[in-house]
Parts: sequence; C-alpha cells; structure tokens
Amino acid sequence: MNVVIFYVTLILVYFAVDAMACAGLSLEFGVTGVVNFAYIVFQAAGAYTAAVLTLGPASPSGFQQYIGGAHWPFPLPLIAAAVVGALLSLVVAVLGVRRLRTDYLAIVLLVAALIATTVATNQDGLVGGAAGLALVPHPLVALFGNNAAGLSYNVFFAGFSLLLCALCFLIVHRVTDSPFGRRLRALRENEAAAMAQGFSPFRLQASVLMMGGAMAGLSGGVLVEYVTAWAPSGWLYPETFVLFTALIVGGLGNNWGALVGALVVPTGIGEGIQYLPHFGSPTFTVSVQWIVIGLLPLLFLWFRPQGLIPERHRRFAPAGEKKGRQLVQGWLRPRTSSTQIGELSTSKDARP
Amino acid sequence: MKRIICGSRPRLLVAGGVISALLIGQGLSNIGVSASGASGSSGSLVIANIQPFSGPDAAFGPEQQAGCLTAIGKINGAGGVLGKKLSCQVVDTKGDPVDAIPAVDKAIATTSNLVGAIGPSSDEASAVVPILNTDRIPMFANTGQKEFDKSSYKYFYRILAADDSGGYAFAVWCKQAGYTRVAAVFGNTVSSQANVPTLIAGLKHYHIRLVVNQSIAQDQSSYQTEVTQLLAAKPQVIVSEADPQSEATYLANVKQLNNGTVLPFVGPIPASQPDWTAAISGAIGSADYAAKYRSVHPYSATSGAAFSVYQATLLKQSIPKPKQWLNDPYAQAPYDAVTIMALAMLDAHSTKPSIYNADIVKVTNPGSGKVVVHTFAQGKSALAAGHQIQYSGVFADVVFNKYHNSTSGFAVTKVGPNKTEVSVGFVSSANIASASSGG
Amino acid sequence: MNIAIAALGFGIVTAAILSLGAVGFTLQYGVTNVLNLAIAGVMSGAEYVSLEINRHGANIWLTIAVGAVFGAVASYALNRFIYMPFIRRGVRAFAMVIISLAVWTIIQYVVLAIVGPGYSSLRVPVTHTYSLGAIRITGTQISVVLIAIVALLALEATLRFTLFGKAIRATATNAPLARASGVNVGRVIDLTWLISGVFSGIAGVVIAITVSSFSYSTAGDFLVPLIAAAILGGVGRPLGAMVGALIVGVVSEVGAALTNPSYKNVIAFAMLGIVLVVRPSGLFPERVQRKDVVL
Repeated sequence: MNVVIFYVTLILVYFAVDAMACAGLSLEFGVTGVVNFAYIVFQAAGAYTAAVLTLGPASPSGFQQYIGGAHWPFPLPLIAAAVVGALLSLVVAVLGVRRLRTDYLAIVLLVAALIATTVATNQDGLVGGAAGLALVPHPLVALFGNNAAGLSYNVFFAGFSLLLCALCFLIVHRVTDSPFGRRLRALRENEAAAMAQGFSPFRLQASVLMMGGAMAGLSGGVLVEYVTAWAPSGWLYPETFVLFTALIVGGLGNNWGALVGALVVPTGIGEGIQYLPHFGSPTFTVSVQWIVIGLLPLLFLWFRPQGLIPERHRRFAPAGEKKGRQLVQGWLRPRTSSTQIGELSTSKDARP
Repeated sequence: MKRIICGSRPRLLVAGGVISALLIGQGLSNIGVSASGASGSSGSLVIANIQPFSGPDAAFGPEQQAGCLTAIGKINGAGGVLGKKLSCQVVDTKGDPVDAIPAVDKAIATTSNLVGAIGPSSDEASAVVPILNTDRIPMFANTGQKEFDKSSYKYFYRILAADDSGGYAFAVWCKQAGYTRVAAVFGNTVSSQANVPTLIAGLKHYHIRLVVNQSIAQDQSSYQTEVTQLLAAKPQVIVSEADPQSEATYLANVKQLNNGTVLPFVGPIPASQPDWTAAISGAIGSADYAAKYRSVHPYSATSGAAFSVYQATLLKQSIPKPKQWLNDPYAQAPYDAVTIMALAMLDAHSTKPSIYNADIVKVTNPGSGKVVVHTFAQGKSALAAGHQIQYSGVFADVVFNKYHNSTSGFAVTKVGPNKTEVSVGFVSSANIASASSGG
Repeated sequence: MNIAIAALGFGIVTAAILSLGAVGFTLQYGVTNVLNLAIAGVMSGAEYVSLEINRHGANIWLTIAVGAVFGAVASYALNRFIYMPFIRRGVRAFAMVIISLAVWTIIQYVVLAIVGPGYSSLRVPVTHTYSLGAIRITGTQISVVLIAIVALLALEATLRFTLFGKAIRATATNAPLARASGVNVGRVIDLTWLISGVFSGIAGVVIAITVSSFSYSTAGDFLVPLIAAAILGGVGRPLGAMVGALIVGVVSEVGAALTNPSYKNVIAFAMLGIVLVVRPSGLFPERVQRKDVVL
C-alpha cells in the first residue's frame, strides 16, 4: 500500500508544479495574450535560484561549480525563486513587450531561451554547466527523521506543493475576477479600445508578466527542492510548447482550463505513451510523443478552440434579469469571422 | 552529444510513466503491454538498466541493454543464480537528472527484488549515484565523470575508464605515434570537455606541443574559421570529440581548406560504430576515414574464451542487429558487469545486495590460488568446487582499486573491411599511470 | 588579422546559405503574415527527398532542382491544407505562430520516425580550393554563393519589373486595396507560397551539402539564424533578408575567430535582440506606416 501512496504523492508534486506553471502562463497568454516562448527559462531561473540558495557556497574543489551559493533557511529559497522569476520578467517586459510586435516578441523570446541554454551549458562556473546542479538538500527533511524517501515526508511535500499550487490559482482567480482582470481581457480583445479607455498596456502587461514569471520561478523552485537536481537538458525550449499545448487543450483564459490542461497533457499523454509497445528504433516512442503534442493544438484549435473547459463570457445583465453567462468560442478564434484571405488580423500586433 | 534544437522529449511527461509504473508495482502488468519496456517477470532478480532510452543520448540505452540481455541469457542458461533467474529492466532517465530521479525512485520502490544496476550514464550520474548508494544497490556505471575517480560510494563500480584517463590515453597514443604537434578540438558538452584537462597534462608530460585547443559550438553550417585557425597552427594530428554531424562538418572543412587532405584524427568513438562511421565517411570518404581515423577507446578482447562466449550468446539475442554490438565496449562492459554481480552472489551465497556487494571485488581482483574463469558457468562450477575465483571476461582483467575504479588499457583501432574494428595499437594502464604522474 | 579577413570570406558563404532560407521566409511572411516556423520542416523534407534522388544516381544539379520542386509543393500544400483553413476560420495572427510551431514539431518527428536518428550524406563532386588572399574557398562554396545571388536577383527583378511582382508588393502592402484594384489576391498568395517553397527547398539541399552529414534535426538548427536574418533585414524585404543574412553570417564567423567559438550563434542572436530592442522594425524600417509589412 505504501507504494501506492508513494506514487500518488510523486504524481501530485509533478502535477502541482505543472499546474503552477500553467497558471502563470495562463495569465500571460490565456488572459493577456503575450506569447512568452521563453517561459521555461523563468522556471529554470527559479530552480537554479532555489538550488544555489539551498546548496550553500560551492567548494572550490567540489565537482559542481556555481555562483551565489548560500544556506538560506526554508522557505526563503522558494521566495527568492519567485522573486527572480518576477524580476527577469520585468526585464523582458521593459525591453521587449513595450517595443515589439507580438510575433517579433515571440521570436526574440525564443532566441533568448536558446541563448540562456547555451550560456548555462557553456559557463561551467555559473550554474554547474551541462551537468547542472545535483544533491540539493530536501527542505525540512530534519523534521521527518532525515528520511527523504520516507512516506511521511513525501506526503508532506505533496501537500505543501498542492498548497502552493492552490495559492497560485487563488491569486490568478482574484486577478482575473477583478477590474484589473477586465482590463486585461479588454487589452487582449482590442488594444486600441483599451488604450482609448485610458489603460496603459505596458503597465498591465508588465504586471501580468511579473506575476506569471513569479509562478514559473516558484514552480521551478518546488521542483528542484523535490527532485534535488537541475540541468540544462531539463529546460530545453520545446518544454514551453508542452505548456502552451496544455493551455490550448484545457481552455484558454480560464483557471479551470489551465488546471485541466496541466492534468490532461503532461499526465494523460505521458500515460498513453507508456503503453505503446517498444518496437523499431529507440527513438520511435519519443517521436510519437512529440507528434501527439504537435497534433493536439491543431486538432483543438480546429474542432474545439474553446478547449475542454471554455472561458465564460462575462456580461453585466440589467437588474432583474438573470445574469447572463455565455460561452466564448475561444478567443484565439473569434466567433465572427470576417477575415479574408491575405488579411490575417494584425490589428493587435500593429504597434508603432 | 547534446543538441539544443533537436529538443528531445518533454520532461513534463514524466508523471505519466509513474502511473504505469504503479500498475507494474502492483502486479497488474500482465495486461498485455510492455509498460516502460520492463522485461522483468515476477520472482526473478532484477538488474535495472539506468540509461537514457529517449532524448539526445537515446543510443546509450539499447547499447547497454544488449550487453545486459546477453549476460542474463548466459546466466539463466546456466541455471540462474541460487535457483533464481535474472532479468534486465529498462529505467529510462531521458538523459536528464530531473527525469532520472523519479524514474530511479520508482524502480527502487516498486521492485522488491532489484539486486543491481547497469548505469547511470554521465547525463544523470551526479544525481543518481547517491540515491543508489543510499539504497544499497550495486551499480556498474558508464559515466566517465572525474568526480567518481575517488569517491566514497561503496556501491559504485566502474569498469569503463573515466573520461579523464581517456585524455591521458590520447596523449600516450600521440607519443607512441610520434606526433610532436597536436590540436585539440572538442565539442562544448560535459563528456567531451572532460577529456581536455588530462589531455593537456599528458601532452605536457611527454613534451608534445598542443598547438591549438578549440571548444566548438555543435551543429554549425561550417567550421571554416575554426579550421583556418587550426591549419595555421600546423598540427600533425587532431584529437577530437564532438557529435557526429559537427565532427563530419569540421573534417569536411579540413579537407577543403587543406587542399583535399584530411589530417590524421583521433577520437574515443569505436571506428566501426554505425552512426559515427556513416557520418564521418559520408563527409570525407570511406578511404580517408579508414586511413586517417584512429579510435582510442577502452580495451576489450576481440578473441579468446570470454569473447567467443559473448559473441555466440549475443548473436542469439532477439534484439535488432545484434552484430553491431560485437566490438562495442559500451555493450561489453554491462555484459561483464552483470556476470560479475551474479558470480558475487554465488560467492556470497546471497542475492541480497548489501551482502554480496563485498564479494564483487573478491571475484574480480587477482589473488594467489584463485581460479581464473572466463564465463559464468565456469565460475559457478569453480565456486561449487570450493575454489576462489578471478573473473576475466571480455574486458580481460578487471582490477578494482579502493575507489572501485578499474583502469583497463585502451585499444587503438581503425576501421577495416566490412566495417570491422582493426587493432593498430594499445595503451596500457601502466602507460596511463606514467602519463598522469606529474607533469 | 588574417584570420578575421578569412572569417569574413567564410561569413559570406554562411550568409549565402542563410539568405536562401531567409528570403523564402521573409517573402512569404511579408505577403501572408503567417510566421511559418514549419519552413524548417520543408527544408528537412527537401533534404531527404533529394537524398533519395541522389542515391539513385542523380547529379548535384538535379538533386537541387528536385529539392526546389519538393519545397514548392510542400510549401503550397502546407498553406492550402493547414494554414489557409485556419485563416479562413479567423484564427488570430499569433495563434498562427503556435500552429506553425505545432506543424514543425510534427514534421520533425515524423521525419525522425521514418529515417531514424542516424546520419546521411549527399554525394557531391570534389572541387578545387581557390585562394584569394587569406580567403580560401572551394568550388562548391562558389557555386552556393552563385546560386544564392542568381536566385535573389531573379526574385528581385520579378518583384520590381513584372506585373506579378507588382501584385505581390501590392498585396503585401495592403491586401484589401489590392483586391479592390483587381489583383487576384488568392492567386498571388498561392504563388508566393510556391516561390518561398522553392527557396526553402534549395536552402535545405544546400545546407545538407555544406554540413556534409545531416540528420533529422539539421534543418532545425538553422531555423533561428534564418529567422534572425529575416527579421534583422525587416520582414517582407528579400534584399533586407540578404543583408540580414550577411550580418548574421559574418558576425558569427568573425565572432568565432576573435572569441570563443562555442558562442558562435549566441553573438549573432544577441545582436538580433539588441537591434530589435533599439529598432523594433529591423534595420530597414518600413516606408509606409499603415501596416507592418512592406516590400
């Protein structure tokens, strides 16, 4: 029976990490429409931050070399992870979001992700080089008899990460349900109209990016404190695409969608793939995995653009009438299509 | 051999494997699918093959699995160990510590009869070795990382030479071949770069000039600038390790810019390794490849009693193209490793890892009065007759030092007709000891 | 200093390779506004189709021609059967980025599933190496540079001096106006995809030739440098893309000569980032502000 509980806790931790990341990305992409192709870098930054602040200073003769090592007590490394994620996002917001059209921004962020991986891999003394960081101590394990493999510790960690995950979703929920959230959606749907109302797109987007970046950083911190290791091979840029797929499958612009997407795409697909018989070249299974991950967004955008859990159309009803709630067709595909060939809408993208 | 663009696999998919692992753990695996590629049957003793089976280093897994399956084929054919059969279980690390740790935790927690491990590889060793050691699982690692040269891990063993002794071996070969001007060209990855410091130290020891030392970005359209710098330094030989595509592009550029002549080049990949041979001979031509490439890789037998048993058993395995693993030290090492573990169990009269671990060194290292055996069956009967044994397998003499490292010699080979490995030299462990003795 | 001059020469060869892909990319992006990351998939497909022809004894020119035809057909099909249906349904411009990323992912891993992880090489005749001061260049490389120059000049001449070229430029600048003026916008777009496909196909084969041994992921390695070149030059401008490719190529090679070669691409990418932050519309901004794209 212990084995079952052990695995349930393991799945719950991974699910909580994925869901936190999806919550942040949902804010950035689903609610605000910023295509952050470097999202995984923020998770990585959080993971490295939490790792070095837990590991302590690198010993000059040690097998792993990194900068900024310190023995910060729990939970300070996790908080630092979130802060680093937020600060990096602020840099992106100031340098990129303010100036670039959406598709350029997507490319620049993609390039930034490649640069980050190259530098982390090649600068051995920065964050452990290509081998990465290992042997990160588990937090609070002393309270559990120093038995990190024990059941009670794993149950504790699963509970703790789910708690953080719930906290993230609570924040996202409060944000999206507030007047601030309405402004964000207004910005997403029609930037010019939103600006005419006096909203500053930059301040809105910068705040959202910082919140999203903080959640990514936090998710990385939680993950590294659980698995105790982190390396460049764990955050190659295609990982970001998996999160985008999760959001599109779950349903953009709503929290339940992000949650369901995190559950369905990473867990569901991984599960299915494991049952494929191994045959042919050893790369066959991995090919199938990626083909499925590539097909999902296409199929969903075509057949069910609103995702598994559609975003609710928010509408104020006159007094006395029942408050109207209506499904949005998925904002990536507006319901009223007047687009003609060669006139792919760039209204949102045009920015002087 | 990592790439950035080709990506690999989604790390985020890890949780899925866990659920299916759960089913295996609960004995529900007989639903007609080979979940996680596990081939273990209940009641057998399980050897975990902890390797990347997907991702950029996906080639490692099948290579080691071939050796593992060959060994258990032989062992089970000889009646198994203490009445039990052995099996090899795939544990896919995806070449990444973040995936490796849950996978290994899963294997340990769900496999009550897990008695030993093949691996981990360099990709995940720093993270995985401590876990296996804590859980008292003897492991025969194929990582070359220097950090394990002098480690205190009781359950860690290494038959294959460390990357840093690879660096010395290159230097020794350069000395033996009479080169006086050497160029070093290594890809910017962990395993490639690990060779460089010891190569430099070894060359210095022999007063050979390192005329240029390049660390190159992989998978570029051309390396003409780098090659021009290289040629300007007038090296006689290039010592290099990079992924096949980068190496191919680099050497093609050498050929172009050096008026159609490829410089001799030395690397760690066996000369008949299929992907490597295809990439390099495609770029510079088969004739140049055969004439100019010298592989310096861990020595293993190409004939003799142990080798012919390995050969016969390997070719009977139902795996794709078993012949490709015939002269591959990375398939031979796990064969010897599993055989050694099985013999240690017999010697200890126990399959319990914490007990038989002490016998691993006993059945390998030489000693007076020991009977030298070349196969599991020979060892089994010698032990049954009350003798002490010394296993001399495909890797010939495996002698573990107090850190459980066995520094075998290095074979120097070139590719022969029909893509065979042809020996052209040998670097002994004594040579390496001398090259590394100060500088 | 010699090495920097030599690197300049090699940079030009790299630029020629990049410019073929970048021009295909930028022309199509300018006219249709679809950021087509799947161009790497088209290149990869062209590599393997031409490999098949090459193995059956086709000479190198025929091999390149087959690559070009395949590129055109694949590119057209991509638009006709995937992008256009989504556009007709009214998908937003940047959702198309995700669609094209998905398509590229699918193509890359279908190729992997079919050809496996190994390496292949095209059979190319061995050519003489010519010396030009510090610059050394092979016959193959000269051919590559010539192919790039001829293809670009042909495209530029078409765009400038033919009616069809005018129609393309009109569509890129303002599609509704072009339609109102009697331009058959649908046909212009189809032709644009075909032309862009020809360039991508040639680029794929040329890459396969220059790297000597290629695998399923080789074309993908060139995607980001290629897009960097296109965006540096300003989207929708073939000549700009050529200049962008020259910058990326020369900066990479000279950077490798003067600093650590492992940061070859990083230097060029960082330049893209800096240029875009300073000049968000690329080095050569639009003459017309009404829309993002001008030829």
